[in-house]
Amino acid sequence: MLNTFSKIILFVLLPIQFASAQLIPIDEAELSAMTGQAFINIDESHDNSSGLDFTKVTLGLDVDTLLNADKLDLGNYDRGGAGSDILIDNFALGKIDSNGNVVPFSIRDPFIELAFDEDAGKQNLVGVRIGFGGAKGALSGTIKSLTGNVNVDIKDTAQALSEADGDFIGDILTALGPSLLGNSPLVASAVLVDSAGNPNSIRASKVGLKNGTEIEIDTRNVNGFSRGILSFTAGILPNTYCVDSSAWFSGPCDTSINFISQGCEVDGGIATCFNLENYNTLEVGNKKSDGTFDFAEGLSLSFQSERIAWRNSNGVISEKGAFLNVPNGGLEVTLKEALKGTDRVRTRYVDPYF
Amino acid sequence: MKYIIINLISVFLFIFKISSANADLISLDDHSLGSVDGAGIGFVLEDFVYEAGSDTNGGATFEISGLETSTGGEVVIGISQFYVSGGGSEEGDNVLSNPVDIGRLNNPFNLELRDGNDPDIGIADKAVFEFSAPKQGALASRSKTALLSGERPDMGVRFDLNVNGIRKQSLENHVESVSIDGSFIRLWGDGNKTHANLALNIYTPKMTFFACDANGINCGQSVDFLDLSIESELGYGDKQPVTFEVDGDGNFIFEVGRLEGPGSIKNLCGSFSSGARGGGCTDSQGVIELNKFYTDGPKANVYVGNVIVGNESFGSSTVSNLQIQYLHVKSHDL
Repeated sequence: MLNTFSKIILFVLLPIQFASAQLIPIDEAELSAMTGQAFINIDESHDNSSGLDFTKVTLGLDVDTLLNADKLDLGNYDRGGAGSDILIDNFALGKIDSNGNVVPFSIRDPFIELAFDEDAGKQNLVGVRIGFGGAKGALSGTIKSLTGNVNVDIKDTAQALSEADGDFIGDILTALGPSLLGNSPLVASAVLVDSAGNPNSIRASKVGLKNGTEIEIDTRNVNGFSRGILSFTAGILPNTYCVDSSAWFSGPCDTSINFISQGCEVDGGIATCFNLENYNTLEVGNKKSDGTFDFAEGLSLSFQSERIAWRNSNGVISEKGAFLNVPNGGLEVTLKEALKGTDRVRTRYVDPYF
Repeated sequence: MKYIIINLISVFLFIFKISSANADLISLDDHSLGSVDGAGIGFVLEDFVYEAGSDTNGGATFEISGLETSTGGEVVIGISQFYVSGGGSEEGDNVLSNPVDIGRLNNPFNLELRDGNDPDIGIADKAVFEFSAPKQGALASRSKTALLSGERPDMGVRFDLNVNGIRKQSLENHVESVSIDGSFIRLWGDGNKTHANLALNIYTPKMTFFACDANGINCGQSVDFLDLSIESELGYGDKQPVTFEVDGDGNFIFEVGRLEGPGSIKNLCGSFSSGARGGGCTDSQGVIELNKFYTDGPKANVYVGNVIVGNESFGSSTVSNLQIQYLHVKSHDL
């Protein structure tokens, strides 16, 4: 049944001919038989540990985009001082490749989720989250402040140690490292930290190795002579040690040499924490062995009035205020990229740095 | 039952010519139609109130069915109230006796056929159908942030969630004193599909979301967006049209075109220099056109004066000059 407003609109639109083909109206009976595509899911759930209820609306959408924004400034309020929970300048999703073609940022199945804390029969809305079932592509920007969860996997070979800067011992380490260790795999995990290396997910401006995190270099394919030197070196450095297999026929340091990060550096004064601003582009996604990326699950942005473990967030606790969660395993950089930062990819056809 | 009150609807027409002759109508081609520039049709809704929903006046069912949970359970969303009324609606409690004027006779909503060559349209040699909200700033009383009840309706909706036959919570959204001034939709054809440019502006001093129990009472704390301003444009004339389609599988496709198609701005680039710094378009005319797009092209700006979750205030939030160079959205079954 059309209401009066609809009839008026219909009346004024009737004389306008949009196309030369004749349009045939669908009658009410036909229209009522139409059903939409099943592209919306609505889920309710309860978390026993927190006592929170969740309502989640998921849209079955595939989204490809290339976009820029001058500024993202979320949660700008006094939190022990002026500032913003999330502040990113020159934000961009997607990139333009060297041939001038768009390489979009891809999103799968976006959702909006509400968190309720029931109190005396009242459903208090304590959080709202926008997230994606999957995401991959280039995320660019100058990150001034970030409240959130960003886990960066550093994967490289020991050759990359030559890129590190340190004091006298550090210089010896970085000089000897590649020659002793060759192409031995190097792994470490970086998170949001403060300048003393303590984990800090609130208004962070640095990412790095939290205190106690180790840079592990695989030594299984290193020759015995080099292992001996590594074992000697580890013996005189306070936060470096060798892992031995204990096999009777093997020498020392035959499994790995590990450098423990304390106060944002490892032995030799090699820095292990870096300004987020240095990371101008982050490739979001699960890196495959061929170097391409697959969708990573868990990219989300939320506002909450209390600390919330959102559903399926792999144990990540979202702090009060605005919170950006970048999925674990979603970011991977080389040691050089970790040490020196990442260049911004092109995100506009003109303008040299966008 | 839907309940509608429209005390007075003023529709004033500026139609140049209404022909009722018996002769066959001959289609005007786009070029001819493009030179037609009528004043169009303006309309205003005076003393307007709309209220509908299953909980209003013993109304009939007004619901969205056919939805599912991720595990295949049946979900029905009942709309127990949807309203448009004057200011001071008290989140839907004071609707029927609270009408509002939408538009004004000297600044109405407009339906027009416009010449695409007009500088503010930018769609060469095409007739463009435009539906536009009242112009922005034409009246001082329609300022973006003023808390005025006249011409700025309150709107709201209450959804009742029903999962597997069990009525769950009731979710409410209310928007106070809302204005969409400056919004428009422009449509034209290229022979194959309908193209569009869109602008959507929303200004409101308060948008609020909260939940109540299954009976729609005993409501909890809310999430509020205060002093909300959204100004968004999609599409850049015929250089970056917005298109809507439904593919053979019934999935809809929404696209904001890339700049690199045939005849597009990017094709003016000439050869493309791959350098990260100092690279990009090399043709001087292409650089001019693209810089014009980046400077004057469609953008979105979002500002919230204060985000309040529960009793916690999280200050302002801003997204500045968000510009879409490409967007492709396609639905699929979950």
